[in-house]
Amino acid sequence: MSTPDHVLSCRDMAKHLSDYLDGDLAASLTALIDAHRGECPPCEAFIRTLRRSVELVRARPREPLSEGVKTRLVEALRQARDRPPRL
Amino acid sequence: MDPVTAVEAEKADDRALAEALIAGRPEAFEPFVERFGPLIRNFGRRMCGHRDDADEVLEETLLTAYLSLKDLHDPSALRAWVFRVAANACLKMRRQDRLGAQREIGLEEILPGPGDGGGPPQIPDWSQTPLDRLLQDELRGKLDESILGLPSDYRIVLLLRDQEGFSTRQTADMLGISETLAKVRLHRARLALRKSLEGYLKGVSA
Repeated sequence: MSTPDHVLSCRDMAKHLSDYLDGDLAASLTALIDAHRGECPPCEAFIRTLRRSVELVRARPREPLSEGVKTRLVEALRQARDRPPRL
Repeated sequence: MDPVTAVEAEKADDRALAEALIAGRPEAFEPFVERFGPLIRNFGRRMCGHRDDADEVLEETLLTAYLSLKDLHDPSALRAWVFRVAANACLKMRRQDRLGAQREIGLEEILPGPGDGGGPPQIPDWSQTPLDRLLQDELRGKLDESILGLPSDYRIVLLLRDQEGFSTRQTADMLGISETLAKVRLHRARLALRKSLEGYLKGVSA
């Protein structure tokens, strides 16, 4: 059975979710997804956990460089300035 | 400071730093390392998985980016310039088969199948768990494992877009691929990451 144009299947909706989360979808398609997730608890949970996954990648803290590594890199740049290697 | 102002301030700082480097002022080396060292090492670590490989990416990136600055037309785009060099250093490792096996991610493996008896799938909702709890040591390790488990062509797009915040166009330009392909890889990488995290997090409550 085909899905009517005004309704999105779970599978069709999944194709657009990254654009949906990034705000890159046309308003008409965004409205269809908004309507779908309101009526489909599994898709609502899927979208929420997908959004959280992206947030986790963004929020992962960075480790600082040690003083030793910093000093070595600054020295390597000084040497490169004085004797540019062939790239 | 609002986000737009912060981005503009960062660009102005990067312009000044790039101009000082191009002018050959040695006092610019330390701020250059402080600005990009942690960013690139973190990127390399999550791209390569191994500390030694990440250190190699870091040194090669900073030296190559510095020595090729004469080709940087817009000094305020220093950050994108440095990451382009870092992406190339990682792609070189991929050509040397140091970043794990290449494969495509199919939608069937990352979308939920039907639930019991052919009904709707059960999707655990761990999205209400606070970020700081999800980023505690053990779970942070699982996040790193999940990212490292992605094929490298997908991993690099995810890191450039979602970790570093570059646009799809910038990411595609850095990797020499079309915007369409960058979008496809980002989407599948996110779905694969979500699925992998679900395995770890379905028992974690808020």
